[in-house]
Amino acid sequence: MNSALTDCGLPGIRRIPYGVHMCHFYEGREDLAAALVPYFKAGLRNNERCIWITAAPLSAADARQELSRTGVDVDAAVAQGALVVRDFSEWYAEAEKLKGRQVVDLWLAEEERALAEGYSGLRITGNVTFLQPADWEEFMAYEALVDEAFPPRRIVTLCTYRLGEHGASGVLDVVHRHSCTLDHPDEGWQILTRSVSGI
Amino acid sequence: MPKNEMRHASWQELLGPPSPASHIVQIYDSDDFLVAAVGHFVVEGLRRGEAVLLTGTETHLRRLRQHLHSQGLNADAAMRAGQLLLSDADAGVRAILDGQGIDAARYEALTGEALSHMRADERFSGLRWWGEMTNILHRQGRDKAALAAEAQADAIAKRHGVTLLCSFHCDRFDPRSYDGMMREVCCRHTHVIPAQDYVRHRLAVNHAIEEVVGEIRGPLLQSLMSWKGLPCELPSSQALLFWVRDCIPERFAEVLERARAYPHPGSSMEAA
Repeated sequence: MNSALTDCGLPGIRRIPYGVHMCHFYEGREDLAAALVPYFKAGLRNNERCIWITAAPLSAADARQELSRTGVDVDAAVAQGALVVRDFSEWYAEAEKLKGRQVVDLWLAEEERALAEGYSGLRITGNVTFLQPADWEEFMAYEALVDEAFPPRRIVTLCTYRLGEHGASGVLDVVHRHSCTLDHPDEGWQILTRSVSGI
Repeated sequence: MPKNEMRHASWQELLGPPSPASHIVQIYDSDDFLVAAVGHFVVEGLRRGEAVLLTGTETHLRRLRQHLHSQGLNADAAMRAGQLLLSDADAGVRAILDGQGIDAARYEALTGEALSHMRADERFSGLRWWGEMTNILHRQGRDKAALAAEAQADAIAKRHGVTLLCSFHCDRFDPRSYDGMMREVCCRHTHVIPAQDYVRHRLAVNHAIEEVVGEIRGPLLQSLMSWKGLPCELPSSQALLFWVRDCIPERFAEVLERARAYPHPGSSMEAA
């Protein structure tokens, strides 16, 4: 319960610290599912409350289906409150009026609620294909706040960005606002840690 | 640079209320941009009740005074009140030069004492200093002296709690700039302002890399994700240019060329 580490779930990566704020650049639907399905399967196995905010190319219905295929009883997990799978449009309809700091506070409150209900921690993901270019700077400011606020908390975060969608400078923007980057060069996964820089 | 220091989305945002002990460099390619950025730095400082020291060439100081006037500020009154001090950078360079190097004691006497005096004045809530002596030394071909002057200015600014802005003339799309002082200068500052229009710079660099290098994936993506970067805060588009130079040097000149050719807003190429 009080371990500072948890299972990542991705082949090749075993333990990750709570508070980690990871990012992943995916190429398509299969690549995205290959990251998120084992990630959440491990979260459920570790007794973490899992919140999956979906967006194209993987809808909430697709996400539930992909998770079911691996043997997870999705309906039971949802009924117990261990798993929440929601499309971003539905989630952001509630959160859209909140500013970056308020969204971070919302996640921190969610973690406190999960711990109070007996979960080991909170595991979340957000796929950001909905982002418009005009919203980029504001969203990067939000990512920076997350990167600052989450490390002492029992929250594991994986943010997914579609490769090529935000240009090469977008890759640097994202990498710099996360603790580490998940890479999938072959069958296994690896963690690329960010070097210190002011990008 | 602290990991989570807030990134700036524009130079206006950076120069309004700079974080304490900032030592910022503006890479400029036109006097209009210099006056716009330095003018903003000065106007913001004066309006916030801070004292300001300007160490510039006669031409730049004259244009900055005109800028202050256009913003409704009376430079003469601010100077009489001791809130604004102008100092001739060309004369300053002549005073501190010692052969090919600089004389630290003379540099200290030239600027440190003025800053100390302004800092001691309790009427002012802060202290800003803009200078271009490093740039002058560089343009004279005295790069070693220029870097020594930069280091000393940094030490003086830290000692007096000064927010320091430097202006450095450079063609950011010329590969030769990167062979010379560009990287050295960036690494000696906490923040870099690489262009007047950040959005356009980002679009130009992304577009150039996409055209010349293609989509960043595979080993290149790994290289970019794990690249060490520079120890200063700079927009990702400028950082990318340093990455290309480090990791894909054979394509660097072409990337710069394409970025330079990126159409300006309103041009016929963009419309097409």
